[in-house]
Amino acid sequence: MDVAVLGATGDVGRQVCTQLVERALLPATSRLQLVGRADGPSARATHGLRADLIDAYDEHAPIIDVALDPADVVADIVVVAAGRTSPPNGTGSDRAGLAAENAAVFHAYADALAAHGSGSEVVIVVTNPVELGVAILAGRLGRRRVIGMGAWLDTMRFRREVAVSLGVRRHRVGGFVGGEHGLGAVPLWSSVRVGGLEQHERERAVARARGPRSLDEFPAEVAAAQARLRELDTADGYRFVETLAPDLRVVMRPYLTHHSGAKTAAGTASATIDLVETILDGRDIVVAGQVALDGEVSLAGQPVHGVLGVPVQLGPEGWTRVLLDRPAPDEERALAAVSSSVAAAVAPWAAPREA
Amino acid sequence: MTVPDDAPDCFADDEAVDEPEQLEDDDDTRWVAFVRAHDTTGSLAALAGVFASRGVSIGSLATGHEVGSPGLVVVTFRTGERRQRLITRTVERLPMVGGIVVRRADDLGVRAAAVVHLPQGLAFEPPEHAVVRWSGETALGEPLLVEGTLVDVESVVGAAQAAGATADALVIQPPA
Repeated sequence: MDVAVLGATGDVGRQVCTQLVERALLPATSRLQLVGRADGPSARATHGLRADLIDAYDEHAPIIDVALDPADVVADIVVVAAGRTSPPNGTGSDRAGLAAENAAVFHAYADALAAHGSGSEVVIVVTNPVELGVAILAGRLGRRRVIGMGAWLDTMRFRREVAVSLGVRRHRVGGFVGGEHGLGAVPLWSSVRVGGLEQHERERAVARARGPRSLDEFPAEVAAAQARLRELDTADGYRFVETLAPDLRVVMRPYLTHHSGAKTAAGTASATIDLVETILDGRDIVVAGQVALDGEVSLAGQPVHGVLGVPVQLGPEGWTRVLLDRPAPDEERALAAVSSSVAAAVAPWAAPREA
Repeated sequence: MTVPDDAPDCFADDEAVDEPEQLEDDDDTRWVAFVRAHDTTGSLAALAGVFASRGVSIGSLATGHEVGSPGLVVVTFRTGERRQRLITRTVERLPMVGGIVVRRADDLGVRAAAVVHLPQGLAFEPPEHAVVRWSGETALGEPLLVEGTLVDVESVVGAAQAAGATADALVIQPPA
């Protein structure tokens, strides 16, 4: 199978390409397509990145191809990492500008894939706002073929934070995060499983780690943590994050990393590669991702029609089933609230462009 | 070289039981791809990999060379139109490929030539329905040389095989 990385020379795109090649996930007979823009610095940088990857990994590198026109994107898996990232100290207007600017990128590639694609590409959206990207691409290409990786990254972070709090390694912890990628994440504590612990043992351990809290207070807790972090330098900020509950650490640690200027490219790319590897392997795996729902899930008595991060079954042709069985009441309320806010945020830019 | 094994069966089975009419299978369309490719190590492997990784069997593959031009690879295969377009676009992206032209095998512009050897004493002429140019007195031991559309040339070769041909070779000509 061939993989195309849109925005291949960006921070995340470059990491995705490098990790794909370094981990030898693509055989030498497959093709990795580095996609840039003819009218930007990536027109040169994509060729340079191709040369650099071959230089470093020639022993097992796949065929590496460069494309500078959306119409030339040809692949079985398309990773959307193109567009602008939010500035480290972005304001609300900056985030709105990010959505507007990246909406144009999403629409351009959605139109090109709809016009020239095979009709069976699986698209993994990395660029933020990931929910907007999923809404636009799913609307043009089909819901089942498009998944946003934000919820999977949040899920891996959640598993790690819970593992740290319980004193175990991450691979012993299961559980998912849904909702909106970033500050609107909804940690699904009811889905947490810990290898080696029976149910009553797990419930006690989770209760200790979580404390007497519910997701009803989570947005306020996040806001309070943000305010505190703005008062601290980065080193003190990370020390403060360590004092938070695991679900708050899921959201605040990457928030601080992004605002440090270091960004989160490596972690983002690693989570993206997890999804790519699942599709390449032909397995059907349960992951979490932002998907365009059409009534598969009901929250607060209402079917959800729109983009939301949920656990799904992901396979070589995209996602198939939603696996959100009986969320806890506070989780259901949180997901419902986030679903509404995502819908409102996406609406101004998601409509198809006029020809 | 025999007729490519993805060619239509030339022989009717006289004992076949009446079977329900078969609808035309889009996935069974036969194509001919003319690929300009650098004559370098790995070119054929990369090209073949595009087909193999998508479950499309190559019917025949032949390489050729024209003085002053990159190598030419002629591939026949069967698949539906959508997957043909995907394969064509994917082949185009290979760094060693300079261009590709794909035609349906029954396109009148797809031309072929063949040489067929029959046992001496066996007189053979191409079937009347095959619109081909030909030469060779096979009864005198001369080889039969035939040129025309691919499907017509294959039809002649098939008929010659049925008549007892001992050897044959077919080449698909590059597009004009």
